[in-house]
Amino acid sequence: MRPVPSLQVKRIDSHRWRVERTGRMRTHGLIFADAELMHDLEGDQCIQQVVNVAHLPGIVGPSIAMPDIHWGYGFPIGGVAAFDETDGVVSPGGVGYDINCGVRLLSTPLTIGELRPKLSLLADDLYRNIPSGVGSSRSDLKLSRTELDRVLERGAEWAVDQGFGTAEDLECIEAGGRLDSDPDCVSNRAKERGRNQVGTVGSGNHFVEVGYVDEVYQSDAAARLGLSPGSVTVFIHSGSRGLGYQVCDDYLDTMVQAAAKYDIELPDKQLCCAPLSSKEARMYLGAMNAAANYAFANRQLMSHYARRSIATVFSPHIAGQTELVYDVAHNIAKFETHLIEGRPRRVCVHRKGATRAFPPGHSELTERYRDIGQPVLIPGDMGRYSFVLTGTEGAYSETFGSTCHGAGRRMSRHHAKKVARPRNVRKELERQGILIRAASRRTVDEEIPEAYKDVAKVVNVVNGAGIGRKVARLRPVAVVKG
Amino acid sequence: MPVTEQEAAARNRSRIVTYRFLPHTADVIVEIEATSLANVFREATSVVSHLVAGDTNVDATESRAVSLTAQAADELLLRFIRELLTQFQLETFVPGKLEIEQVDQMLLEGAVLGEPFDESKHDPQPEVKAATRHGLSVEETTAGWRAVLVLDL
Repeated sequence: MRPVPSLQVKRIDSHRWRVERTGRMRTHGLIFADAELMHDLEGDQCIQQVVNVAHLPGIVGPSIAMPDIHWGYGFPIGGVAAFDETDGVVSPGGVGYDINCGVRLLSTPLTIGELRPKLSLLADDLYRNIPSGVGSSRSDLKLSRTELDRVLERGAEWAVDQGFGTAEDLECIEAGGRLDSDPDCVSNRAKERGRNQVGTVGSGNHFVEVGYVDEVYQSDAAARLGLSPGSVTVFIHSGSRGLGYQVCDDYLDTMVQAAAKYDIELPDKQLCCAPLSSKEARMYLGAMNAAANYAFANRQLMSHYARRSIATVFSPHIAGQTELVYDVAHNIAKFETHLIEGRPRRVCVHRKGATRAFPPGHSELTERYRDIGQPVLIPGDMGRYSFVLTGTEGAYSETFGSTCHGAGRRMSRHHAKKVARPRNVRKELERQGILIRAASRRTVDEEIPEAYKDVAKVVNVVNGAGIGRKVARLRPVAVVKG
Repeated sequence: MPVTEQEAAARNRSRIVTYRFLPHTADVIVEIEATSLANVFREATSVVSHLVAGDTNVDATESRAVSLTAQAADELLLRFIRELLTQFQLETFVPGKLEIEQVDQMLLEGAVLGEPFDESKHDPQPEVKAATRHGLSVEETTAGWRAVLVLDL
C-alpha cells in the first residue's frame, strides 16, 4: 500500500468536509459526513482515495464522497466524480466489478399482521425460488448465446417480453431498465460466466429481504410510492454477477494500456482510464452498459420469482398487486447533463457505491414520480432498518444528482467473523423476529449488523445536507443471503 | 476433513512459505512471503483454495493446464489468481496444488491440481468478485519474495 500523506481536511459545516487541493490534484475533495462518521474513516485509506480521484484528467467539480464512504480499490466506495465529455476520462475502477449493482423495492398489499403467520413459509419459498450463494445458477434458465445477447441489448425489457413482469415495471426502473449497449464489446468469457446466472442473488452483501414500513416521514410521497405504515415490502439487492466482474477485469487490462498510450499519470493503477473520446472508452461504455442491462434483467427476474413465492404462499391475486416501487443502480457511469457554473454541460458521472437522486421535475423521471422526485433506496444491515428517500434540488446542484447507497462497512470481514464466531447470529436475529435463510454461515457472520455503520446516521447526514429527503423507514423480517 | 490451524501452520512451515490476510474494511488484503517466486505462486494457489473452499483438504482428482505471460511479476500473479477464480466460478474447480514446469517474472507454465467443489467436504465461502491492481506488488526481498494484493469481495 502507498503511504498516506498528511491530508488537509477542513470542516465546512455539520455535514460537509473539504479536502484541500494539494500537489497534482486537479480539484478539491468534498466529503459528506458528521463528526462521528468522519471519525470512523480514520485508519483506512478512503480519504486518500478521494484525493486520488481528484488527480484524474477532466474532472468537473469536486471529487465527492458520500457519508457511507469506505475503503475500496481505486475509487472509494461511496465516491462520485463527473468528467467532461470532451477532455475527461472513463475509469472502470470508478464503476467497480459489480457493474449496475443496485437495489429494487416491491410494495405488497399485505400488512405485517397478515404476513407473520406465513413468514417462515415465505422465507423458505423465496430461498428455494431465488438461488443464492457463490456461483449460484439457475438450472431452469440457461440462455443461448443469441438470447444472452438480447439480454445484454435490452435489459429488463427482455425480461418483461419473456413474461417476467409487466410493462408498468419498466416505468419504475432507472433508465427504463435499458441502456444503450454494444454486446459485441463483451468478451466470450464474460458471456460464458453470465449464461446461467440471470435471476440469482449471488453472495456477500447481496440479499432478498422481506420487511415492512415502520415509520413514515413524508406521508404524501410515501402514499404515492405505495408505502403505507405496516405494509409489507420486498427489497432486492444484486448486480451483474460474474458477467459484470469479467467485463470489468477485461477493460481494466485495456485501460492500463490506454492510460500509458494517452500519457495519463495515475496515483493508483486501479484508477486506469481512457479519454472519453477514445475507442477504448467507447468500447468499455458499450460493454459496461451491456452488463448494466444484464443486472436490470437479473433484478427483474428476481422480482418475478419473488412474486411467484407470494402467489404460492398467499395468492396469485396478492402477487398481482405486488408492484415495483423503483429500481436504482449504485455502481455505474452515465452521461448526464448538469448545470455547471450556470451552464448546461454534458458529463460522465461515475457513481461507485452512490445512488442517482434526481429532483422533482427532472425530465428523465417517470411521469408517476415527476412531482415527488426520484425514489432513492438505501438498504441498511440485516438487523436494523432500511430507508426510502427521494431526490432533491440540493443533490442536483451539489453532487451531480447523487446521494448515498447504504450503510457502509465499519468492520472488516475478518473482524466481523471473529466477533460472530462464539455467537449464533441466526438465532439472535430470529429472537428479534428476523428469519435468516443463507447458503453459508460465514456470509451471515461477515454480515452481522454491527459490521455496518448505522444507516440512520448516514441517511440523517444526506437528509440534513439536503442531498436526499427521507420518506419512510423499513424493518426487515426475513432475509435471504448467499 | 477440515484441516486444523496447527495442521495448516505445519503445512506452511514445511513449505517454508506463508500467507496472511491483513485488515481491510470491505475487501481482503493478502500478503504472501515466500523463499522463491515459484513459491509465491504455489502459495497463491493455497490462498484461492482457502477463499473458495475454506480450510479443507482438496484432493488432486483433476488437472488444469496453466500457461500465462505478462510484462511483470505483479501482472503475472494477478492473471494467475484471476484464472483460478474464473475456473472456480465456471466449473466449480477448487485448486489444491500448483505443479510448476517453468516460472519467471513474465511466464508461468504448469498445471493446477484440484477437484470440483464438494458440498459434503468443502466449506462454502462468500464470493470473491475479482483480484484488483490496488496496492498490487510482487517484490524480491532480502529474505526471498513478498507479494501483496487486494481481492474484491
